[in-house]
Amino acid sequence: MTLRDDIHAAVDEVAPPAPALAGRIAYLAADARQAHGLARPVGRGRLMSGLGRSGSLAAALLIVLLMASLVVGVRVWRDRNLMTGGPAAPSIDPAALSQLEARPLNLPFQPFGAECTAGPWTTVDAGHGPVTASGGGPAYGFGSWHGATATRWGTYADWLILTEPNLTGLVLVRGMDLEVNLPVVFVGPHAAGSVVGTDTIAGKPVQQHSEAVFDTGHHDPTASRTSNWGMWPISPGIDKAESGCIGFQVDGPSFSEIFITIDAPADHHH
Amino acid sequence: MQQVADPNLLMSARGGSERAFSELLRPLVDIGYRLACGMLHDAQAAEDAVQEASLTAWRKLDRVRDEGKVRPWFLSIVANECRNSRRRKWVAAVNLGLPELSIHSSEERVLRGVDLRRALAQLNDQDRLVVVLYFYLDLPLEEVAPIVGSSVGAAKARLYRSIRRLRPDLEIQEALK
Repeated sequence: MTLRDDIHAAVDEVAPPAPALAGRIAYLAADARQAHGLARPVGRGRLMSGLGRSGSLAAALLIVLLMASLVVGVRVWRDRNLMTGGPAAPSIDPAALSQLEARPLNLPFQPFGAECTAGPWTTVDAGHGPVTASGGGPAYGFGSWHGATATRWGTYADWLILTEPNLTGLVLVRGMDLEVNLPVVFVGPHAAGSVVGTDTIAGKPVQQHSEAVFDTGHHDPTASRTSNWGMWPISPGIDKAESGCIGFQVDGPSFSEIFITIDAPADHHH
Repeated sequence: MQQVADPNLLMSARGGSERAFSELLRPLVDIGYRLACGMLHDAQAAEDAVQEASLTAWRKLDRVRDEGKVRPWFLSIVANECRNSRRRKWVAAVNLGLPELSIHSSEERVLRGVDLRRALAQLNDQDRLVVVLYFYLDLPLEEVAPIVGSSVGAAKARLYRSIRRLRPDLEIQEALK
């Protein structure tokens, strides 16, 4: 048997015929029309949700909600700054930045279609409870490509770079698709470097930049600090032709680290 | 073969005819359901996902300009509902869909199916979507790509990567048969 045959057999076992489904959908469409398109059925899964959750799960959810609210805040901030290509950047030492930019990218490029292993992962607590972030420190990436903003060009995510309390100096973030050699671009807060393209997000024209830069030693209105950790919003974007295996290199005066993420654009079409 | 919807049906449905909408969707319900089963491995959840997707499609029908794109558009909505369904389950316990053993089921076949579903469930959403569209719904990569929201090349990269995870011992060309 081929892999195709195996997959057919495996899925067919959990896909019994559903002869009434089309009729039920026709009924629902009529019902929704009568309700001016507002009605939505309550699925069985939803009826079951919320029952029997453990306290620890609720606590974990709370932490994620807290962190998610930060990321949503980033998105609001980003959207507010799209027209101008980002907020007024605090003073960045051009010489220090040039030194960081001169460092070569040491990303682990790999053959097209090869296994992509995300990581490394670290559990960090930046003041909102422990979360699993990308990177080995002292800077960490926190975010997801799920729920990212899709455009004709590609996908933009809302991330936070979390920096350890004792980290000082400039931090430079660059990224590449590890399989098709497409660069990651940055829009919104902390987008910097050369302009490499343009796009339209939520009806607003934006400039795509080659990198994200922030100075951990300066107060920045786009950053928040809790427990002395720095939280720096960035909005990386990836081309539609990306392979899904995305590498980031984060450089600072005393460190250079790499982490890999696997994208999963959630909503390209609606 | 990519199906093209009847342009008159599309126009009528966009004009608010639920009958036209039902007719437009009727040939897509089964493939949408099979896609959802492939993604969720749970027939009840799959039916729910297709129902939700249908209502989303009904509300957003004005976004479809080309009758040739109704099927990939609808399948992308189903895929999104499947992702949402899994998210709603929080850290979803993977439903392995172990069927009741019958006298017609050989133990080996059942175990192989469970094993493969487990491997599929461990792929990330986008990779699993590409596998299900390509291998289970037998769609060509040219039709898979717009559903996934990527280029054909990127969809192929996902497919290759997924094959290596599902069947590390299998040559890619052999697996693509």
